[in-house]
Amino acid sequence: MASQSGARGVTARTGIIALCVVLALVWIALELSAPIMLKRFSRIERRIEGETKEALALRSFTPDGRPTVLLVGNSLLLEGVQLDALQNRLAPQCAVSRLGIDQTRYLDWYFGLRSLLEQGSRPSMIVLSLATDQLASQYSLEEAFAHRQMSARDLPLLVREAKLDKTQATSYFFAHWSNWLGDKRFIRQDILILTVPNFRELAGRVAPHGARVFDPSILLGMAQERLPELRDLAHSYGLKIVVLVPPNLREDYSLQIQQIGNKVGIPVWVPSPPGEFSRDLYRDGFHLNDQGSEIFTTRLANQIRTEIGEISHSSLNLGTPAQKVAAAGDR
Amino acid sequence: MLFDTPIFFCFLCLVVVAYWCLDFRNQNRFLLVASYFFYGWWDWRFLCLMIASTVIDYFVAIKIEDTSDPGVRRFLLVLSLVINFSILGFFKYFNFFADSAASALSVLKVPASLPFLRIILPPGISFYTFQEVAYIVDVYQKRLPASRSFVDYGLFITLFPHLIAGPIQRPSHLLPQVQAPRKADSEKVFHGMLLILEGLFRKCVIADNCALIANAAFSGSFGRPSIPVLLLGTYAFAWQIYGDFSGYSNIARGCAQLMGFHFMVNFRQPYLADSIQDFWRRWHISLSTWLRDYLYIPLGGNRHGERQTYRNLLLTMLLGGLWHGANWTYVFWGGLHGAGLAVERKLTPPTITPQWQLPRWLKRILIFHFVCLTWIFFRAQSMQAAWVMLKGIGSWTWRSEFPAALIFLAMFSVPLLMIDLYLEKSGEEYCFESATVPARVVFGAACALIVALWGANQANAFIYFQF
Repeated sequence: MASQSGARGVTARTGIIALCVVLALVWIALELSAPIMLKRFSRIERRIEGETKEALALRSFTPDGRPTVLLVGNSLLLEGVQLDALQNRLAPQCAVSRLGIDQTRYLDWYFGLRSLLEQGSRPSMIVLSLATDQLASQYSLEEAFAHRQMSARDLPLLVREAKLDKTQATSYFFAHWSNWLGDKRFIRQDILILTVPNFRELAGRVAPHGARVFDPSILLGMAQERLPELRDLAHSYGLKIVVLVPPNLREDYSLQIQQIGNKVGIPVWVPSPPGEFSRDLYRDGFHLNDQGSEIFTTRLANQIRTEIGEISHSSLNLGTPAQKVAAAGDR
Repeated sequence: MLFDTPIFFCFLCLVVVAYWCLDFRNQNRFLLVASYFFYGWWDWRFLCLMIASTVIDYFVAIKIEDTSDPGVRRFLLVLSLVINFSILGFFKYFNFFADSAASALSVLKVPASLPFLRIILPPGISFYTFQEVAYIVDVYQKRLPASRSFVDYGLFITLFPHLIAGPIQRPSHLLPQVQAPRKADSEKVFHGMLLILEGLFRKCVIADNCALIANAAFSGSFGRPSIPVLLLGTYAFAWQIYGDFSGYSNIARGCAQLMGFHFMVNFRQPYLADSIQDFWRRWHISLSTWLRDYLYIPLGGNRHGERQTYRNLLLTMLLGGLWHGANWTYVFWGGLHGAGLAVERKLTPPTITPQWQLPRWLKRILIFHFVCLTWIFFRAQSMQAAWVMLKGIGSWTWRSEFPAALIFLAMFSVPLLMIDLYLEKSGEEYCFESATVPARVVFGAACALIVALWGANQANAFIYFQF
């Protein structure tokens, strides 16, 4: 580019170069510091990181021969299932792990599980906890999802599945490789928590959650479409995937979705039919309180115990626990 | 391609670098192709529509210039206007008018089943149609020679920084720039970079954060409308739409400057206006001057007495409202401004004694609140929703999250007010425009850092993209 010959032009040119350099430095600093900042400020992020590592290391059986179960889901799982209690109850039969990420929905987890399994995670059973409208949702955690849960090779599939336009697709592509774009949602949230008094309460009101799906024809139609996807994913990795529907105060068509699951060959657990749990078992009308989660955890433990019994039984012919581990790793 | 997405910045960088490597003629050809690519990124079918519309006006303008017969010239002008407004009317207003006609007939108890078509609104159609109309009218009135180069004319219409949401460029301002070689000017480029960064600050930090409060208030997340909800929602939307559109305009102007073009200023501290007329001299200047020159003055302006002037003001603003969208809320919004302008004209005789004037700061506050009142109709999904929101003025409810909402809103609106007060005083286009280069580099870096840390994570499309 030509420049002006006057002193002012030269100065402006220096300014352009300086600004470009400063912007590049800001970008590099953000890229490098984003994961550090997040881990330092956010307890939730540290938990997610720990749970992700644990999930990645899972094999079908523990060294002592117990099948492994991975629970995945969002805040409905985090608040609705008492993990310690569940682990204690099921300790003789299986090893339970959890990977919970707030505000996640079907797309986050379908592609999240694909990526997790692609990276070598092999639990015997995955329990995917989603409300029925979350199962039908077209929303995801967007850039954060693209960064931490999506595999780059799944992007074309995601574009079709989530009906992303080109701009969204490229934003996901960039976010997949960029720490900053992937993490900025959470860093900004932490900054606002630090700077705006009582921000958490406000965030509950103003955070965009996306339109909720209530139309039964959409809910059931999406279940018809998506449950076979989960079945195929389970088959391709030789493991079991179960959909767990958390309690709901209102009709959520979970029993009809359970029937669809039976037809397409993917179990849908509804430990508490819609409306069964009274309002006083919920904290806010959606998430269970301590009492509610205790009841729900007990029921879930029974379901897992029954299901895992079948897995253990069918895998007896695999040989010793060590052989089972090796066999699972070879798949 | 939204201006605040990574892909746009990749596109912009590639285009700017390649552009300055080419000679003048190839620069125009290259920019035309790049602009078509930018537009076709949404949907290539829209691109076909835009090219067809551009080609028609290109030939019509040449024909108008080549013909001396006034009747033929007039016929060609009308033909072009009919084609342009028919395309706009079909894509933007067909369902609105069909729906409104059906409602009117049902009130008269006349059974009618008018068709409802699933029409997707092509991005930027209102903007490029107005630019094409301005060109044809200018050529017809011999204020401008018709462009003999399709590349030049096509580029004037489609130059990507202004294509989707303006600023609506006047043919007499932009076309000569397209037709003449641009000189690389590092001062302009530096200005452009800073305008882009300042625009991103307005959009991502101010507008997108205020949008959270406005959306919550207007969608009922704060409960039923009451005085606090109404105030929070209205103030938040006022700053959201200002930050959003002025941010967009700054980014567009900045991008143009990177390539040696100059776009007109679109906003001049509108919330510091001390009259409604003053507001329209500061808000969306490219539209308000277009409406003045191509609608209000041809209607007669203020040349035929008071009553005609009021009628012209009202009509201009009603149509200006309708231009924003196919909804009665926009028409009513325009009508309120038109009525406000007429009443203001009536109540403010040109020879008013200074001691009877309200203090300027009070006038500014009053005008800001009048504008906020009209924003309720602009923001609401329907007239009914707007009335429901307005009825909140009669009730009072307090929720525990309101103080946090107020602090949040103040955090993301007061900085823009401060910037406007500074710009009003200094007469600059953006902060530190006339400061030393190091100070401007620090300003640019600060903008980038604030955008990175406080920019809302929800990718909100620019509001004016839908118009």
